[in-house]
Amino acid sequence: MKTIYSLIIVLIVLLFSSCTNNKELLLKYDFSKANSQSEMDSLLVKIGKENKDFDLDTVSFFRLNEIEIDGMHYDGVPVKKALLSDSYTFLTTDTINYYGKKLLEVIEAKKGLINSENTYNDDIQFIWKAEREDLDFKLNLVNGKHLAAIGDKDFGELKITFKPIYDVPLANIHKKIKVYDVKPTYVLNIRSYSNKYTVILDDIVIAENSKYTEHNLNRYITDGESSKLKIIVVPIDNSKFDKNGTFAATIYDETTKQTIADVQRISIAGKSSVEFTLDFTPKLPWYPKAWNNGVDLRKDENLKQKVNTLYKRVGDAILSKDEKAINDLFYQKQFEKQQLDQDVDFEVARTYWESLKQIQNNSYKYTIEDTYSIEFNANGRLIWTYPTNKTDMIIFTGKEFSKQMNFYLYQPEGSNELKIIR
Amino acid sequence: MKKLLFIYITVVICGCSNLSTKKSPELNEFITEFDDKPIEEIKEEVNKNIKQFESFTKFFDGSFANEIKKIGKEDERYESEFKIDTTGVSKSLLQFDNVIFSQEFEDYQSSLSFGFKNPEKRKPLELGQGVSQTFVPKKIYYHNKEVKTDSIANYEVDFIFSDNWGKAKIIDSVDVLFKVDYLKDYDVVEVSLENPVVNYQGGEIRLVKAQDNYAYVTLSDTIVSVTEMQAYNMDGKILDNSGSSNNGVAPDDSEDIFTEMLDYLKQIQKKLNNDDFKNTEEFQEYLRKNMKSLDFFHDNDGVFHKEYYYYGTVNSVKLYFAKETDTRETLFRAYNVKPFSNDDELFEMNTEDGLVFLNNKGETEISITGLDQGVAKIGGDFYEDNNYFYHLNRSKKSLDTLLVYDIMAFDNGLIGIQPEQKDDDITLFNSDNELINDKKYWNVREVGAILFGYRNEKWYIISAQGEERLVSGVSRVGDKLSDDRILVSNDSKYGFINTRGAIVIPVIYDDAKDFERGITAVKLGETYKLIDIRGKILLDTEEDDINFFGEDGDGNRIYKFGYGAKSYNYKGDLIEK
Amino acid sequence: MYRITVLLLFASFFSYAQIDYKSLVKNLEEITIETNLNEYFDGLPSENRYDDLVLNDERFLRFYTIIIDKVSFSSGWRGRTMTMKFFDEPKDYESIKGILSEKYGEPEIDQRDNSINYEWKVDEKELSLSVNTEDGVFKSFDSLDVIFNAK
Repeated sequence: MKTIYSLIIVLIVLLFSSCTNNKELLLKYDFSKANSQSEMDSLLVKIGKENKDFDLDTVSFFRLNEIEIDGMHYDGVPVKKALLSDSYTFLTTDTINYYGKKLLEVIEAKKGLINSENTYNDDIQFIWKAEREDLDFKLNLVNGKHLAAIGDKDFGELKITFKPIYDVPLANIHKKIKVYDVKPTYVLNIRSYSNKYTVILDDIVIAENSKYTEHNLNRYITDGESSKLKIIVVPIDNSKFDKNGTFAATIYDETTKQTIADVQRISIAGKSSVEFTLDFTPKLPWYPKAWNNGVDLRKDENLKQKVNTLYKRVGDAILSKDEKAINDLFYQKQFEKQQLDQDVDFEVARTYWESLKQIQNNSYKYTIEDTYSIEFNANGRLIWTYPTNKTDMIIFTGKEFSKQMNFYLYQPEGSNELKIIR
Repeated sequence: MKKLLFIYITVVICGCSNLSTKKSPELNEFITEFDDKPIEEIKEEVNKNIKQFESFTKFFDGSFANEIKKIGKEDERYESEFKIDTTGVSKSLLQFDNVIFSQEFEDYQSSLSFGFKNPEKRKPLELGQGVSQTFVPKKIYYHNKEVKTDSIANYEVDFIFSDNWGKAKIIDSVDVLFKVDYLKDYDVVEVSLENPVVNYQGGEIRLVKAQDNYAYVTLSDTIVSVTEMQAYNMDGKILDNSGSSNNGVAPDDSEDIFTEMLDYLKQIQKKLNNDDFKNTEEFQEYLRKNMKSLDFFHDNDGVFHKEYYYYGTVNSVKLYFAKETDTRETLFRAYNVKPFSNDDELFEMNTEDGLVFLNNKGETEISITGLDQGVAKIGGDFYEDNNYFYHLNRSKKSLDTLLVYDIMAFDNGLIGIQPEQKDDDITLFNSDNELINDKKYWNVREVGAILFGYRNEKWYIISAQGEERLVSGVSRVGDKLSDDRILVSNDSKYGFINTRGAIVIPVIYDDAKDFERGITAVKLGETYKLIDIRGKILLDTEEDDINFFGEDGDGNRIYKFGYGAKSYNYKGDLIEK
Repeated sequence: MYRITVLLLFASFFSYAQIDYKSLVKNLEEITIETNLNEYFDGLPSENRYDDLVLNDERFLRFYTIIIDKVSFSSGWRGRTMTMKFFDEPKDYESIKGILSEKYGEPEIDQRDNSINYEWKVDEKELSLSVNTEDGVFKSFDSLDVIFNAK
């Protein structure tokens, strides 16, 4: 009886001490609760209202408010100084009581353990990047030595930057990506000295007279049927191969490092062109819709008109920053590419979206190539256009700025318009 | 604008120069600034400016944070003895053969900033102690053929900032006199704690006070100004200077001057706020009567006061007076970096009312309002700002926006335009934005004033009318024009063309460099030879490799061969080791 | 009993939500040629630099209780190599020397002007400790390499 009694008293005392240690009543302004820049601004307004002697600017564009008020904290760790601009928040702890260490631990509890950054001094820095905010934390050593020997005077600096929220599906593709147990990544690697290669996978020309010796094949795979890869090699100066010329090629899975198919090293000396074939059966956990339901465009008399219409849509959508139109144009291509790579990195889609919007900031017009040759792939269902006069099919121009684009196109069954697919 | 003027003039007045009779113009200028200003506005400005002035005086307090203090031996800093250094004088006279200036216009005034054609040379050589350099403009050649020689001596030839050069009119070139005054001989007068008073030039030099790091010297104002003053510590080491002030009034007085000035200004402020002045004229009258009576404006003691602070304990001070000076001078011509090629060319100028285009007489021809930022001229009638390119449409008197990738202007008046992107071919236009020929160039480049265009793997010289002259047998053209020769090459052989594109030195050399002073080095057969501009071989160096050129004291080329085994000067003479 | 558990629950709510750092500490003397490194280091941040596995959070890395600054693992024809870098504490140097000598016997010593190298060889592995010296006195660690011999 007595032991239970004393246990209860000990527990109550513990409760009480943890309560007062938290100083919850005294920690009024919690910076960790803000989830967006506007919520941080509201916190600033609240601080301003309750501390009238501080002349806070909550409206101007390049505002910078410096605050040292009691009660500021980040999830329970007292913050000595806060610097709030309209785009980031910079918090500094005091140089006492292991506050630097405590702030690090509180952030790690929220965000997990990550590798530290390389700094050019003794400071220890961690940067957590997430879709909504970046947390850049620096532990400044004062009387500590390293992470396993942090001193009580070591203080922490935390920079919180909120990122814009994009609703458009094109910027949120990572949320839809499924990850499987296996992640085969088929790569063609050519080992031959300085020649030009035409690579055709299942009747799709992946590269034409190109010097590139490595090609990612996943994005041209549409099903699990056996595939034929043809490589045509010509000498770089269109005469004959060097007397020491050899050729070798491998298709391998980059993830497992396994060789799937290969051409052993073979001499090609003296010939003026050679052709090799590799057969393999890709086994992907997921196959894209791609151009599987595309119509045969070889007989389409209006094809040139349709190509022009498509690129005009691209130009208009980007120059007017029409989010829905941009999304409709590029979503399927980006989604299938990211899903084939099983890429769940949130930055990939966001960065692509931001780069498309950025074109409009820098350009004042677009021009479309009107003279080009059309190449039919995959039994006429997939087309690639080779511009004759310009360097690409569509060029955006601004003052000392230009950006060009060219895409594989197909026409889905039931539609009368071309669609961008790769 | 006005606020700056107020502070500037107040500072000048309270500043550290000897104002005896020269004050009145400044004072009057100050007072006339208030003409036509409503008294209310004056009141507002004074209220605002007093605050600024107060903080300004705090800055001046304590004489730039200099104070009398003891400096320990270990904290002492030294400098080297005053010595006349005229080594650079001759070289400095030779540095002005490629001076350019850029001319800008604003509010119907023109400003010039000078520079050198060679982008690596930023400003004139700095010369040693006892040497002073001055630039005196002698003639301004305007584009409309006017030549001005009077009232221009005060225009500044500045190699860093741009300075006002009078009314807005295009200047083609300027003749400038460059003078170097250097000390040939000087007198040294020493005053010390043991011997504080010395007579010199019929006046007296007195070391009034030397305490720790502080030295206070007075000179009769009949003595010429001091060239240099250096302090010595007890061990005879020369102490580095940390601060100084030169006054027309004694030191203790100057602090009072500031407070007196401030009090006086506060008085004015009070009177203004009390509406003691009915109008601006009354205010100006009051100022005129009262400011003159301020103590500060009376400098009657006939003595220069010099206070110096040093990094060490002062024992004695040496004053250097110029005894004999010598002058060397040279006249050079500086050219407008953006020469006008057409007589009817206009230039742009930002004014308060908008963008104005003037002809080369300075008359307004076109006026455009509503542009919120200024444009800069690219060449001819083409302009740009941060976001767009423009062409000045003279008939419509407006700026046409050109939605193109890039525009470049060439010295011969032609304009190259890339319509869409970086890899575009360049098409050529004239100043009226008309296509000059139907050719598309992969590359267009100026060498000297000659315009070259490259297309279909051939080089052409392009005239101002767009006519092409083929430079045959050449696959590459160099980028330097010197002695009427441009280096060209064809696969692996080198030769030279003249400015009309004719191959005057055949393309047969295995290596060649640009001409300088009529000579260059080429490699023919196994060895390097020096040739003249006609291709005549002057000598065979018998060496098979050439090193980077050296430079002699005057900046002329030195040819080095065989890893320094043999060197020749710019005339082709072998340099003895 | 019931009340105590409720009170205990209450008390736990008031403490910080925290990572259990102590439980993540790895004692690298446990590693052998057969250790699956990915499983062993699960939960700790690591990097793959040119096919080498690198960890450098000193809070979680120990070798016979001595704090490790950085450890990297590479595989080659010889087997697996574990390279450890320590903080330059003289007492750590004495400790490591002592512990390894106790476990693996007397090392082969190669002493030069500015460095000393100690080598221990046993059946399953080789250990090589290099330090930098100045006038014969320990100045800093170079590294401790443990080479696990392939079977």
